[in-house]
Amino acid sequence: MFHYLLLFCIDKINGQRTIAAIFHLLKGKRSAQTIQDANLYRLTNYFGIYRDLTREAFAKEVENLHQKKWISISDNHVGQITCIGTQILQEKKGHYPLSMYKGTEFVSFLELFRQRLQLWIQTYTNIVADQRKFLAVTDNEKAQKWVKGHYRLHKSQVDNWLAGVYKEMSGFLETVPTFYAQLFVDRLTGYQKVGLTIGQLANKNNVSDHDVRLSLEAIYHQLLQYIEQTKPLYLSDFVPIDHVKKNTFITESATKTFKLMEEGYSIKEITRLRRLKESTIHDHIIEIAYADPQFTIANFVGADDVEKISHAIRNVPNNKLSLIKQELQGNYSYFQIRLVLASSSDLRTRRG
Amino acid sequence: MELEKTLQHYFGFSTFRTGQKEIILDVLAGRNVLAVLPTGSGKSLCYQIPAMERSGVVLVISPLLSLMEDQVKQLKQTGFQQVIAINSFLKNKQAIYPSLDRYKLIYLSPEILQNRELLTQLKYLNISLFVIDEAHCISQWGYEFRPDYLKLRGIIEELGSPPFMALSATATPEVQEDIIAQLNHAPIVKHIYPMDRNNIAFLVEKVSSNQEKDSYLTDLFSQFTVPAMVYFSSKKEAERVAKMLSSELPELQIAYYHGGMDQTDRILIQQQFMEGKLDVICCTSAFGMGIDKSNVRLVVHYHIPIQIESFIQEIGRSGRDGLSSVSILLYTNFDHKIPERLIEGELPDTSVVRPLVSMLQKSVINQSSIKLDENKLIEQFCLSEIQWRFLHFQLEKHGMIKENRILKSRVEYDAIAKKIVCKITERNRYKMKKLNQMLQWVNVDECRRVALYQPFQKTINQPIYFCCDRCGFMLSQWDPVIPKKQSDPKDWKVQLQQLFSQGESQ
Repeated sequence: MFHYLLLFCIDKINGQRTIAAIFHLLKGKRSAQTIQDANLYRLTNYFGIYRDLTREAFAKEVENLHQKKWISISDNHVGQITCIGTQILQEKKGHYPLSMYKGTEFVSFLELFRQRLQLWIQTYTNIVADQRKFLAVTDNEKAQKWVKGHYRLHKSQVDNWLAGVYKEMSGFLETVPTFYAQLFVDRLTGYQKVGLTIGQLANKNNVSDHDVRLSLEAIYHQLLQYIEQTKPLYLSDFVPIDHVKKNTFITESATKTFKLMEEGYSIKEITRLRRLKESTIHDHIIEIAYADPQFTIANFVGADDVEKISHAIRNVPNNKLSLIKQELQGNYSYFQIRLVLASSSDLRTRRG
Repeated sequence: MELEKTLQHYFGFSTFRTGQKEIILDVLAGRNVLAVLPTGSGKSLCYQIPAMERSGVVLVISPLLSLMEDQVKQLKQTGFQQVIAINSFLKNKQAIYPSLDRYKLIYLSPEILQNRELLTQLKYLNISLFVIDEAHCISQWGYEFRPDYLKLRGIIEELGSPPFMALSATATPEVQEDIIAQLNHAPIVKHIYPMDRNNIAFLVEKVSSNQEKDSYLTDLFSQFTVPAMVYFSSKKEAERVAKMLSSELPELQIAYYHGGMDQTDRILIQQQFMEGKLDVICCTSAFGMGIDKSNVRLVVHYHIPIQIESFIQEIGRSGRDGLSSVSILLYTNFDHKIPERLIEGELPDTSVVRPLVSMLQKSVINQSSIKLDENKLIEQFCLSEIQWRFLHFQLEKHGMIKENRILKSRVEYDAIAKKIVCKITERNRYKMKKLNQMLQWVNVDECRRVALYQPFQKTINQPIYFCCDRCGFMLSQWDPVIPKKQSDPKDWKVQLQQLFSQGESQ
């Protein structure tokens, strides 16, 4: 699945970014560039779905694809899918559950949700068996605090909670393919049950470590969607509340810029106030334009200009900025072009 | 009776094990204590209970970071929260320093104790006990000599000379004397307990290649399905053999464990082993510390340990329940090369000393001192962290480095380099001597039990079950207790149902 995912991303980016852009995307790097890329190439669903990925492992798998001649890599580290690669992509289409991922939607709280759930299951199943001592599956203090708080609140209803979570959980697992349900349960630790390691799961299922990690990640994305849609009584409690439906897909620095803008400061003034480069402030504004559908770009590009730029974008076969600029005879800045791209979802989602 | 109550409350035991109570009583009476207790006898309890019982704070100096973390985690698990480990991995150290008096038990690495700011904060505390764990590290004759340990004496004085406790599982009489000497010959009560284990039988199997070792293990585990550990000196080999055994013996649960794995996986493997879900674990010496599984029946050494002390510690993880257990050492005639290579790599090569010292000397030719760039040196001379720590200590000792600045030295650099080279040669020779003792044991003609334990104690107990191959023990005689295997359900639906203890009629 990891190879397929890489091919998929390389295909989408279509030679317009270096291979490293995919690494940052999967890691969920919170930089304006990565966020813009994710939007531009319609890869937001995969943003941050492999946060544990290491540079070495990534390089190794890319090299692997290269050797199999599924992709070509130019001297400046730009990847292009080959004919064989395209074939593979066609053949395996629908084979992997890429649609299970909702990257940007969940990236900011999925890990906390996962750790809460796993630690909660470990804690409650042990408590109900009157086993007070166990080695916590996670060191995450936020998760530990939450589980402690939860227990303090629901001490007298441990049985109800276990039954409720069990019922909802099995209900959900019935909706996913057996492979995923089994993987999810095999990984759980609790009373008289110890989860399997990534390596053990890989062995058992005869897949790579990468695929195990990505598959586990996929189930959690699916579970969060399930919770959003069905609003179950018990499992909904595990979703970190302060994140729900709040736009977290924006860097902290961009948030500061946004606040200043709302207070009426100009780009020049913000640049001076924040001691940042103008291009950085531009990045922030682009970021906001992607994240916030209400955001208006009228302050930066007039309605007529938007029309002209949009027209040029449609005339250029792909979304390569330099070509668009050329098409406009250099009358507009990159910033303005990027803004139009960012604010108009049907322009940027157009396949190049 | 108060002590037993604490024991019951926090640890769930009703009685102390051999030695524990005597040691605790001496500690509570404010005496200095030297305690040598075999692995698995619950050494740490000897300072944990005083920390829970008494006012003031107990400081524990331990060189093993992972052990520290484990102990903190385990103590918190028992409900004892006023415990913390301070080492270089701890974030926001400065924020914690002012509130150290909140804790009753503070674990510290010897390196972090060199920090002046921390030391100043420690002086404000009411220290009821200063514990030196793995005290053999203080002895220059100890295998794992840690330079920073030598400074502990000064630190104890600086902290107002609180009572101290030196703890070790592997101190020979020679090392015990040295520990006492290094601690200024302060009055000290000795608690030395024998380390021989009368329920373990010894077997050395000479083979001619690693392939033979592999097939020996395959045969062994197809005959005896008992909880077993196989020790390796390389992570790669541990992984390789685990995979080999898994494919040869698919009906067995086999896993590997080493320090290169991520923390979650390490915890999971540990728990699988403790819960009896694994039959065989292929591991490096990183496995075992803090693991208390009572029914390990078999400990195999795939590679020969670097010294007898490590061997005794590792086989000591078997048969803690007192039932018949076996230690098997596999050996080929060129196996001594692996530990030899390990020993050579531990200290810096003598050839780097002269250029390094000369370079430092030249760098301060025009100033009286300049800042020391550790990382640059480490990179330039390809040093490991341990090698650099050794050199750093030596350079400090010879007045070339102070508080991370290079100083102009009055002594000729040649003389300093010579002394350091001398030290390295001496240490290596010592380690080779220890290795040779281990190798001699492999070839010993008389009783292995006697040969193994004699350097540590005067009298050796008679074995309860079998003695050793030299005394006629053969594996075919062995009839170990085999634990009942609970097979886990395979289907996720059943697994989930059991985990949540939900009935069938849902």
